[in-house]
Amino acid sequence: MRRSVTKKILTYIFVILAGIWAIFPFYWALTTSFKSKADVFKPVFIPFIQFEPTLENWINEARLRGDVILLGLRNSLIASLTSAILCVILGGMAGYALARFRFEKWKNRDIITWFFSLRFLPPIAVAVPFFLIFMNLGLIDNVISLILAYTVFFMPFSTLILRDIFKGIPVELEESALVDGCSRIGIFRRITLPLAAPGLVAAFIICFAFAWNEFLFALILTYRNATTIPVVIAGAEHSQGVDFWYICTRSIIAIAPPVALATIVQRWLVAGLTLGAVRGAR
Amino acid sequence: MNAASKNKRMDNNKGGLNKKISRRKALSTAAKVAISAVVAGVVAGVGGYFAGSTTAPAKTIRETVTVKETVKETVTVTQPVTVVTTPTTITTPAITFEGATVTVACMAGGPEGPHSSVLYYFKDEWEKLTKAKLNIIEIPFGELHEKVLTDAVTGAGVYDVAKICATSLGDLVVGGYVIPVDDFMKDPRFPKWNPDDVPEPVKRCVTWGGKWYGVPNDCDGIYLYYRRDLWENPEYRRKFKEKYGYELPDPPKTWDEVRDCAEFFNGWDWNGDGEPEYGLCQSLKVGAQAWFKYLAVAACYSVMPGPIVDRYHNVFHFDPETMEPLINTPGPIRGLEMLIKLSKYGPEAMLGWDIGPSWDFFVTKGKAALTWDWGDVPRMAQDPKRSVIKGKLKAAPLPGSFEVWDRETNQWKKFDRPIRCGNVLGCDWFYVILKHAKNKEAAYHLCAWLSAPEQLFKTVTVIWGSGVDPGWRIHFPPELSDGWGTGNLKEWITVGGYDENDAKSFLRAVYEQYFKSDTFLEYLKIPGAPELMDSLDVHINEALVGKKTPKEALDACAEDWKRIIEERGKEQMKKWYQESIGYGLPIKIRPT
Amino acid sequence: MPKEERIKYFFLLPAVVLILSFLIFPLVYSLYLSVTDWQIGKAPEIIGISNYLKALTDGRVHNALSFTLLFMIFTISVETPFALGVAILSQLRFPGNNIFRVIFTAPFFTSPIALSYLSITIFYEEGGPLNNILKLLFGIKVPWISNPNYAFLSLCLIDIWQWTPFLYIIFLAGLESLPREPYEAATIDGASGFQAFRYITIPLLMPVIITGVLLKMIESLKVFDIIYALTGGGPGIATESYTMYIYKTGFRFFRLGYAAALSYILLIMLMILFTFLAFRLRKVYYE
Repeated sequence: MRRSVTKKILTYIFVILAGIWAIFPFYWALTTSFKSKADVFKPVFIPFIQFEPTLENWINEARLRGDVILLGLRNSLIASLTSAILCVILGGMAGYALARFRFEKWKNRDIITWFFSLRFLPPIAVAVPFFLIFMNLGLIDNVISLILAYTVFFMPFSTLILRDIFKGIPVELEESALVDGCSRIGIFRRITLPLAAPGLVAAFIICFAFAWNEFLFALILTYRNATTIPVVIAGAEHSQGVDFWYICTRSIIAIAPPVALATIVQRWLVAGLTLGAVRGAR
Repeated sequence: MNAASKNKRMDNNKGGLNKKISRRKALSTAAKVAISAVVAGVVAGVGGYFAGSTTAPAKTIRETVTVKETVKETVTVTQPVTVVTTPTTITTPAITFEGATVTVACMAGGPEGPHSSVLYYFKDEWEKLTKAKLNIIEIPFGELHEKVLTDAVTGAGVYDVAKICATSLGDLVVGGYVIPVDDFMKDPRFPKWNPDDVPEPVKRCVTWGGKWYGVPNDCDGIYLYYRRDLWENPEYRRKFKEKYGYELPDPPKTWDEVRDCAEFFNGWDWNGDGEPEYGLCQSLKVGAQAWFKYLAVAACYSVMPGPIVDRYHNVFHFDPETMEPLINTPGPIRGLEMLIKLSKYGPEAMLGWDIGPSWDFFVTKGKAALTWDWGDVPRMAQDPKRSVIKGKLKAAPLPGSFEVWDRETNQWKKFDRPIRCGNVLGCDWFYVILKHAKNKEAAYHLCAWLSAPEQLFKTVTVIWGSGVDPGWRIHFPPELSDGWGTGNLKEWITVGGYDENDAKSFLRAVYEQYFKSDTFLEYLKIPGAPELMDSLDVHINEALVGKKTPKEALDACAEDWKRIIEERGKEQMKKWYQESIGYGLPIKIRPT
Repeated sequence: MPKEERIKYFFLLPAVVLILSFLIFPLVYSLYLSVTDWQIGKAPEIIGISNYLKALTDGRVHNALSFTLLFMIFTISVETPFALGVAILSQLRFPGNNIFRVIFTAPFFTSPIALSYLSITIFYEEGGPLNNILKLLFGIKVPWISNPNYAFLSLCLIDIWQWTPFLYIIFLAGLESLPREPYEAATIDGASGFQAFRYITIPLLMPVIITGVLLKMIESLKVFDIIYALTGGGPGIATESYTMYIYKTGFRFFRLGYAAALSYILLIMLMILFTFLAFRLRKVYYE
């Protein structure tokens, strides 16, 4: 009895520490965004007690860069959501194929290695060729080029992660449905996918985060109309130094949609929403 | 533990696909979504409100321009153009480009950024004047060079005009991506800017092989700044004289004097805040500005003054005849040694400082007695919200040296007064017209108009957030520039918001630096300049942190430079270098 | 089952075709560039493998590689157990669990560029929050950025902060998808929580762990964004990562040929490393 109480306390302490660790930079960004420019380099944490908070940074952002920030948010959302969804759909299908079927011409192992190897190439190496491709497609400064670039670049993630998830789902369930005359696609849709919900959500979140934070392609492939949030953030540095206060405001703005999204979908990371029947009679 | 969680799972599973959403969970999620939506809505609403209202900064000077339009002739160029001559004293003839759009690439920063603010400020006025459209595209600072080059090299050609750093000019000229503007300059239809109003170093940044490739604008230079309140404190002056045997130099004329001052003011509390202060502060972070600050120190030991740019005079980086790097000759080495000496009198952390923390330390915290930095510092010092040194700033041209290394005789040449090397320029931001520009005339009009005297004066005083530094004739009050300047000190104070003493000190320093020096540091703008400077930057940093001695570091740098020159073709690079420095041409420092 | 034979292509091909159609040209073009010497003002001229040979003797390449490898090893060793521990704890249904999950995942959504700039203020030696707390508690001032070793540590800390959630999400998804039967059987047999962890969780989760670790390894070998603003590769070139050097070479110096060669070298090295690892892990991973 006592041991489990100690365990509980230790768990709580650890959780709280981990929480503080995770949240501290956000807290810092938030408080700094309310600091006057002179206070940025001062070691002050607590508003009202240690420094005089001011709204001027936020007001300036809204007044001067409001339209650019909103544009960046819009483009980032479109590019990230679309590419993440595409990654999960296409990557999920590919991952499923690699988990369930045997390929003769090129072994599964080699295809998996190929997917891994797509991650080896640093984006810089392909940035200029990508620019050329999209220039010839007339897609420069267009969100679509970002969607395509992100999908292509991040699909290996979803493929590989989902392959593992699908592997973890017992084959017997699918085979019994096959025997019952269900089509492959039907099985995939009605049995496998619901069971893989946590994995799908995980892959979606990861691909979304990658696309949301991606900087290099967004920089190279866009001029102004398709500019994304990371580029807007980078615009806070100029010949007179870094506007740390704007970095903070923009970081907070940039983090809000993904966190909101994560909040909404995190419940599906829990397996509890799956069909009870599948896991056998309990 | 397992049994408990298992039971919980069973409960959840019993719900099956009827997602068992507890009311509390639903409410909390809904609350979170609602809050995010509200916040987003508020931000959008506020943003929309402010975007709707005027975005022009508070200080605006309205000028009424009376133009008598007399249509002399209609000249058909690429578009029908109406030429008007005005009998008034307005120096800008009106010329219109109906339907044209000029796309300008500049450093990001929005309506209050250092360079973008100028464009936003003048956008409406210029558009009304020329009936053309101005399209401003902002690029994050660190990527300006890359984006402009990519746009040019791939033929995308989105940018018509770019405000670039002089290091980029070589690549652009050599690749044929920018057009010379000499013909435009002679054309009377366009706004006139006087090349003689510009300091010599700035001119040389913008020209290549004798041709003008851009319209100069910014004159960002490095000046020495120090605290008036410390220097005028009789107690401190007395102590200094006791310790060093000579009067506290005001201003310090050599780097040795600077070193003495820095050492004197280092490590004790001279501003009464209970904590020790430092002699100086500087931004010495690698990959940032350290190499500029190094060149500011090293130049005076290395550049031999002379009437023309020849092999042994007025060059710094390479021997123009052999393309041998000169970076490891005794001049630059002594400069690095001095920089290392100086770095001991500031906070250790400055080895990792970009300009932001350094300016903060000098201006906002006021914890350093002196520094040498860009022309932005005095402006920042005037902002009461960010500065504790308003009215306490003194500026001076960069110190010089009694000895300059003479490569001709291979020894130090002594002078009876300190030789000052005119200026180390930053990027000397200026406008270039790209080859792919759709309407080159409209593009040139914009550039020239922005550098016309009226606009230039506003650029350095009125425009809030402007990062453009003074250096043109229009900026200097005549009393501070031996009668040559055409500016107005009163306006610096009333319109620019400068403290009178700060303004006087600063403007005098700029004038002396640009127009009363003995020589100047030639700007490296050959193709490959970024790579050469990166190598210098890295090796200086190694010496600063003690990993190498100054000589080792600069020898390694010279090796790098040799390699880079070889790889790019020595003969070709030599030719470009000679073109870029105006080899064989006379230098003209005094204003005409 | 001929029908099943064909349907597998339906599943696999869309992804593969999309990737190939966009990556073939860049890969080939990069390969072509890597054997050329392309400078502004001239057309690219083919120079064979001299770019590759140059990289072998380029001291800066060696420096970048050693930094990147050390960085990767250090960060992985800390992140994997950390993420695993938190993922397992997340499975306990304690109050605030959901909020905690979101909080702990949030770092991964931070733009690395923003994080890099933000870190300048956090690690600010003369008065940033970290040094402030350290001064209060221990009376020390750590040179987070101006000292090469501490700069390395700062970057590792940032990476750990940002990427542990990545592994955490993957591990969590994996844990949630584990079958329940073995645990039930173990409880019936009287095994303790720790034994269940060691003999059931770890083996069953191993494929997911390996995937996650491999993916993170590859990512850390490409670290760039967080270094860019915080240290710029400094002091000197102490924290210059391989990708940063490629970026500088390709974009700052516009030596696209050499940059392409460097990228391919990275690709080749990773291929070798990966094949080696995969061979060792084949039994666990590839059935």
